[in-house]
Amino acid sequence: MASDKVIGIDLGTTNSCVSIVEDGTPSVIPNRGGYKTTPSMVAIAENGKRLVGHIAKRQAITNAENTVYAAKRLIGRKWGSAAVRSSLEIMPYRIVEGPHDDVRIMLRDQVFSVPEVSAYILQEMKLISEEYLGEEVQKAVVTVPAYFNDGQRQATKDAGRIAGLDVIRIINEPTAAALAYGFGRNIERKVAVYDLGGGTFDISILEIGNGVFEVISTAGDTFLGGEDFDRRIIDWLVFGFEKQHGIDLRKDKMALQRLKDVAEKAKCELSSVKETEINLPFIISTGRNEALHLQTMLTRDKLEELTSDLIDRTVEICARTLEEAEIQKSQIEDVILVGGMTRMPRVQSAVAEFFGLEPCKGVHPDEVVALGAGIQGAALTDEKSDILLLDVTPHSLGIMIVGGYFHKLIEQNTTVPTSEQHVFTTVKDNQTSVKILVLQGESDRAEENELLGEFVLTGLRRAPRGEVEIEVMFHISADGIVSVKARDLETGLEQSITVTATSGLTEDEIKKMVEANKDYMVEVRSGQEFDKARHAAEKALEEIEGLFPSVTDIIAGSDFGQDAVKKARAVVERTRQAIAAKDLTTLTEATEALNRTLNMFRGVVSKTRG
Amino acid sequence: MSTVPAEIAGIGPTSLKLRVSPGFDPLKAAVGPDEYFLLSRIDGNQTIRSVLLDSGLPIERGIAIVTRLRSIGALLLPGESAAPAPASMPSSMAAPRTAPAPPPRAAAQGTKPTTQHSLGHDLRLANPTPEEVAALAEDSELDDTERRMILTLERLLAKNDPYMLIGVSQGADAKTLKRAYFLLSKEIHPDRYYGMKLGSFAARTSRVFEEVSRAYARLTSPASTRGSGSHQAVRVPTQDQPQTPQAYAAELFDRACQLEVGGDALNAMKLFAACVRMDPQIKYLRRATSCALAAGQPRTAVEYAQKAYLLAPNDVSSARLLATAFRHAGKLSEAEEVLVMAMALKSENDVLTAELRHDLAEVRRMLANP
Repeated sequence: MASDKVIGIDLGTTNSCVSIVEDGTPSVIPNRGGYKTTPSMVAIAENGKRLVGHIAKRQAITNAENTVYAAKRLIGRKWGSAAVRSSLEIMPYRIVEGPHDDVRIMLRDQVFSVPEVSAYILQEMKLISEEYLGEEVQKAVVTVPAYFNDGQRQATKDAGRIAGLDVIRIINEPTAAALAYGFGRNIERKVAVYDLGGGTFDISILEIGNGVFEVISTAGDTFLGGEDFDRRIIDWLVFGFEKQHGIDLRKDKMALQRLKDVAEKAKCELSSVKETEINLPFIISTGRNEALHLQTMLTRDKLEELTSDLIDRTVEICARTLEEAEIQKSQIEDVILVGGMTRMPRVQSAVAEFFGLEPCKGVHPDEVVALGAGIQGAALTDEKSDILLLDVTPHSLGIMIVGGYFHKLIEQNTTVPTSEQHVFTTVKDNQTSVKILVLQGESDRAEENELLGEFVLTGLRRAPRGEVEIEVMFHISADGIVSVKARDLETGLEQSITVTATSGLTEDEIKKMVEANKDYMVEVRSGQEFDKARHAAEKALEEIEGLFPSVTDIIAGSDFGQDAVKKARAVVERTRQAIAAKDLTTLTEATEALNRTLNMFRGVVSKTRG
Repeated sequence: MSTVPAEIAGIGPTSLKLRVSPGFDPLKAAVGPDEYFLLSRIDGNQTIRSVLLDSGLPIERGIAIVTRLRSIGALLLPGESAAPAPASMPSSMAAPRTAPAPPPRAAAQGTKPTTQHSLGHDLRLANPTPEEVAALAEDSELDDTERRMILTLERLLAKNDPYMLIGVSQGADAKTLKRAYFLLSKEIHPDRYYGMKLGSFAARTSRVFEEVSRAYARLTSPASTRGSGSHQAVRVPTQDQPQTPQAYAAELFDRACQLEVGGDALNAMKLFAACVRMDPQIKYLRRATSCALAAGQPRTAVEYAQKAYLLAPNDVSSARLLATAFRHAGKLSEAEEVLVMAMALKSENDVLTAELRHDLAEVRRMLANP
């Protein structure tokens, strides 16, 4: 019998965890081996069998090339991204380019998409919960790092579908941790969640009160986590070995996998002891058939030295997040540590130092995220639940406007559901269609943001540029689904899409689209603003022209006089062009320079007269 | 930074000047350290507003302390000669240290809010329109009370009054506002009706929640760009300000400089920002520029430097500062332009000229090898 129960899954970079709320109590479900977490590893054995979790991890050393770990670092990413580039170098398994600029993984001549690999892990978690519950499970809440973009979230949802799970909600890991922290406690306070996991770092600020969890701000770095700490140890070992024996261990995949294992183990040990021995006998053989061993001591101090910049980076992100949310450190009443990396004493002390308070010790860093996912699952489906999560959109949303700029409609950290609209206009005479490119990100430049989707609104009436008004409406539902509608205000003609992220386009392609679609472009309806700017610019131009002869006389003889006059002419020319092009953005820029020139001209004249 | 509200519930406008009640004994009342600290700042000459601002405590905390001190008879309003009867004299340190309990509607803590009466709205929906009647009769899994609640709130949207929409009185303090918003969210957030058949109420609920959350954002961060219309209700009217903007700016400037010297450039920036907004003097702007550079905020630095430069047309060193800011912001050609212009101005100060020349050479070198 299929159950209507909703499980909560923390799909982690290195480990995954599943939970369920039963009779109002959330608990983590142990796997067959009795462990509460399962390694996020998938392997294909020699006989073609698929291995997931602990068994995959156990054979990883002897089958490094066919064992996938940290697939989460690749999910929803584009082949051309820097993140994938750096993974190519360090992952022992083969990463190849997919047909849609996406990433594929090759295991024993079979090609897998990243969502497929993640699906095998989700399926394992589903099985674990089904064994425990004795019934089929179909619904799940899955967590992702707060800073995952829409493409990565969509890919995670796809993974759920492949695994036979209806992912009823994706929630952010730090938010889930806060839910577990505040669950069943009648508290009213502002908290920070510092989440340093295997592959990602997230920081979120929440306000908790009366069973409501309001996310105020969230930020992070999707490429900073425990794996980076491991890599620092590996680099240090490899470097030492190379200096001693002149052999680069990284060239040998099996050696690399052993190094990875030992690095992770040493890192964990150093959380409780001051120094640890690293011992890898027969790590590699020399050309003369003679085996070499790696044996060395790693101290906690050394580890802290190797990784101090990584910890500093997390603290910088914390500071920036607080600043952007206009929150003082002193307003934070508790800090929740999440993720295995927060066991490291230096991490704990850095957090305590920054916030000026001891982090909360009440939550289990490995289980808290899964528990929160389970709690949210119950909050949605269980009538008795008294929990409400007020989540935010982690990235700004908007459309591309003329010139390849990004015009935001919904700011990041806005509570969802939300909607926003803005009126745009045509950029050419007799333009009969506009193309709406829906983008996500924080850059002013369209091509630096992620393209979520596009559609064309056709059948506009023929009119001079700027006369046709198009209203663009954005809506984000409570479950994070974005829909966009464009409407010709005069005719009522409408086009809309529901955005499902595709990770199929590169920046270059978007750049090309900017070029190719000039005829479709819209611009921000800002005629009044432009007129005002033009008026100001024209006044300044007039005054400058009046001053030109006398200023030229005065400064032409000085060292840089000729240069300055030339520059001033160029500025004047630029302003004129901006006025002619009726482009507010360039005019604003040009006017800035124009005012500086005018200022200098006035200065020169007044100096000689006075 | 939080702003000081125009009024504190139970006390009155923040422009009032409070005095310490002559008979009040802080020892007997067992006030806490920060309560005592705030008490020591109250001298009868300062307004509540300036006491709150000067204390350096978070504003909400300050308000809570003032409210408590007032409730235990420590403070006198102008014209009063004796303290009002203490509400309930706390006998130990364990006494509640927060603002007095909000009105009963927001006090339903910890229990599932099954009754809509806990909200601060009149939910009877008098004289329903034909459309509302149809909605009430619709096939949907919501009960009658829930429907009336959502329709009532929908009516309120047209009033464009964020306080009324959230169900608090004008100028309510941050805590009351937050509690009311949370309580209301629990009733109307679409997640509450997850998986239910809602008919026209699906769109209504979403729209109502969106507007409520927009109203809350508007009230909690006045500078928020969210939403249309500019509601100034939470800002303190200028005539109530205890100091001239200039004097206040000077004070902010001093505090900012201290922070900057202390190495806290980020917080110093906030004070500088407020300071130059209030009184854009060239001295303030220049210092704010260098602090912004130190804090790694080149864009802000450009903004300030630009203003400083426009204020002092003859000043070569302002030009140099602007060029430096441009350089940090990656705007090399702008930096070059400003430097060339400044060179043409011919300063009498040879050292400065030499520095300008050096800067220009550097910028040109950077321009040549990007």
